[in-house]
Amino acid sequence: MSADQGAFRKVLLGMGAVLLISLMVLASFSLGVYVGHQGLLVGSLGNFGARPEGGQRPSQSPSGQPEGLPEARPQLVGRMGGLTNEGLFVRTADGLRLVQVNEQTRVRDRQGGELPLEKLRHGVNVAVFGEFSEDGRTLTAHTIILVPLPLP
Amino acid sequence: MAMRKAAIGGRWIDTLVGLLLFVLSLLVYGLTLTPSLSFKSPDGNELATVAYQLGLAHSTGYPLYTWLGKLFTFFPLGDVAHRVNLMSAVLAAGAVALLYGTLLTLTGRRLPSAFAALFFGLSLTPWSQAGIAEVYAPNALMVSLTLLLLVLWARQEQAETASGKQRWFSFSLVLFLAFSLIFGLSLGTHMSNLGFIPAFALFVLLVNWRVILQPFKLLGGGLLFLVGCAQFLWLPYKAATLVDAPMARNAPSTLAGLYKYTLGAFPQMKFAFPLWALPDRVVVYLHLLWQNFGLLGILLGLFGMWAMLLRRTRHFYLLMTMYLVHLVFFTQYRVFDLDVFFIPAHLIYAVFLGYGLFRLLEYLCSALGRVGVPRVLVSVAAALLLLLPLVKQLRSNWRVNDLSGDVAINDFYHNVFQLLPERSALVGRGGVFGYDMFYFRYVYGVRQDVLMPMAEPPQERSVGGLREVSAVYSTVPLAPGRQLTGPWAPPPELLGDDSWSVPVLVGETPDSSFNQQRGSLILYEMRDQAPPMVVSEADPTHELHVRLNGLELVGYDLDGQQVERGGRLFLTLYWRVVERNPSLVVTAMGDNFVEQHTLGFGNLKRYADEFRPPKDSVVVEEYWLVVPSTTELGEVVLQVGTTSALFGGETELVNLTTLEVEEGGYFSSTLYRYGWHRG
Repeated sequence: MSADQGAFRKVLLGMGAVLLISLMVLASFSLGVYVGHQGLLVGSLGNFGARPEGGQRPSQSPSGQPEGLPEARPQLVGRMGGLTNEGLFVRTADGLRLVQVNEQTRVRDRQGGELPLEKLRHGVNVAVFGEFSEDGRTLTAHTIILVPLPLP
Repeated sequence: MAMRKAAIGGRWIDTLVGLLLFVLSLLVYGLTLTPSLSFKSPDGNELATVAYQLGLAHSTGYPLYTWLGKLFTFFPLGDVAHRVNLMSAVLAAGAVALLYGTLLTLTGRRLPSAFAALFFGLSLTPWSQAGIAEVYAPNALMVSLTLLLLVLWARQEQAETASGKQRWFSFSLVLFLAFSLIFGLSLGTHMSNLGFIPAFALFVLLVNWRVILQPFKLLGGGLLFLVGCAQFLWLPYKAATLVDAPMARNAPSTLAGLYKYTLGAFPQMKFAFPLWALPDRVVVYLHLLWQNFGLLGILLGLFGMWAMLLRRTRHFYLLMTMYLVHLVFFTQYRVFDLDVFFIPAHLIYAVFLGYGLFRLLEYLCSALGRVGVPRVLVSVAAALLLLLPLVKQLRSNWRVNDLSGDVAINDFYHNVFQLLPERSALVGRGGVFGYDMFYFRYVYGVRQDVLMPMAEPPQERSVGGLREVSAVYSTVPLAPGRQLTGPWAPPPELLGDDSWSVPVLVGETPDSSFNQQRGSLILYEMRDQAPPMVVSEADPTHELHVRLNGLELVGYDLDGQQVERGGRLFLTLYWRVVERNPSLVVTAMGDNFVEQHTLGFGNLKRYADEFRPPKDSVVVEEYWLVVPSTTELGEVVLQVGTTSALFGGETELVNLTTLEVEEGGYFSSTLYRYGWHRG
């Protein structure tokens, strides 16, 4: 290996090390910000995406339901993965799903009472009611209901 | 001579291990394969249909996928959708074997290479795509193959340079040209592979920068890449066949359209998040990584990155650049089903993981060797130990990814096309999401007398035989105020302003959709008059008067107890509302819930508002219920009940009767054989 090659290799190694350290710092920083906002609960990263029990668990009805609850079946149900400023991530039987929220989005308990958005901590179970975009590839929630689905 | 023999023998063993990994993966994917159509992927039913038709899929067109899919439709097993699902299984298994090949080239060790390849293959998201018609498994194969060819080229190029035997035509040139062609072709399984160009260019320069002085190699590679890209000429050729209105708006029939359909597709999803949201997006990715590889896999991958940087610096830059490009692009991608887009990134991470394991085992062997422990013993112990995470992957992900019993769509439409009267019209979801219905028309040509306007190109939807239809049916409820709107709306001439969506047939709700709207399989007849859904006095054949949550099941009628798998039974239920309670009506056969629906199928409130029935009236529900073709043969108990499980309540069921379930003439995967095919 010539001196030039040796120097070039050192540059490559140095840049690679900087890159890797930067990535690890970014990941740690992101986790820190996230935990700072969401807290380190039961649903910390380990339970972040646990799957609700089986697909064959029956669910809710709109007929005769309390005020404030939507009159349709939800677009999806699952366990909260995470809440971000842009939306929430819900672990469903079909995989992790991104749900958009906006200022019209309301969070309610199963009696229809309104709750603050902060109640959507990871690990809790939610039913999401909302509208799909025209191309069907994004879902914006108008109501999110905290539900007590049995979990494994 | 002896060394040469040993090398050849070693290569045979390597090939054999690769084949074994392919067979093992294929076995797992095959056993969990979806038998036909499914709702698991939003696009899967469209992709299977388009492959059969040799048509044009949604953006970005996926020409290579379509052609490969067409080849698989000739495979004589199951129906067309099953064959395209099988393609995913075969190509995903191929990706596992090729990943092993890449790792073996990098490490020279079979154990860590085989482990990492299988660990990737059995991880949650890649496996989930190996059992359905989707682009992600074929794309994993194309990415693996591209990567393997490039890594092999680098090895060959370095060997030729070191030996001083460089000629204008050499094996390294063949590998380079093959890599270029495969890379170009890979854009036909996912356009995002284009983002790998900087990584490939950097790697080529790092391996041998003198390549830029070899115009023959560069031009040849560029030309073959373009040959691969030429598949996109398929798009303008097939642009006229688009039936999805939003896609047809950007039809690739002009250069501008071609751009919008491919590179410019889905602009609202790209780089959709502000920079301050970056930590959130990173956490989402970390979560997905955790889901697929767990803590052990993440740590091994991290270690692998560092080890590769030190030991295989060029490869580190290749993989890291590929990885970062995908990460940056897709962490900024706003889409409902984000997880599948990271499969190529997971594949690259698996290479780091395998390399990390390789270095770790080398350190272990070296350290233990110094105290007299033979290498073979360490390897055997490591192999046994590494079985544990593989078994864990297999067990936990099997439950989620096993779709072998998902026959709901086929069972439902088999009955729909039997029930529809002559010259009726059938509407439903449009565009990509309507292919659960269109499949039967496009592939099997069923019921040509039935008008399916949503399956026609948008400009032809409101003409033709609309005035002559005898009745209108829909697979989505179209009650006033809930009409489908936008580009997927059915022709307005078909429906009256005050139509009632009256349920006729209720299909099995697929397992993964059980709590959700999507996946409901109900056929409604659109009527101008309200159905007789509330009566003051009920006179059921079988009286029950059982309280189930807030409802009383007064009784039921059943047209017979002998039913066929995949067939249907006619059920009438009489309910009285005792108290306001958020409950759903559920039906079950044996141990399996078949379906759930709201009392009155969404019509009850409107009926009460318009007709003001007296208190204590009885709600009548009558409909055909599909008997899933997966139902056990022999005696099976039919149960009906209510549930408010989602809201913390109980599921309460009552036995109605014992059904005699017989084998039906229909079986979902044998549509082809039973004369449904137009040929």
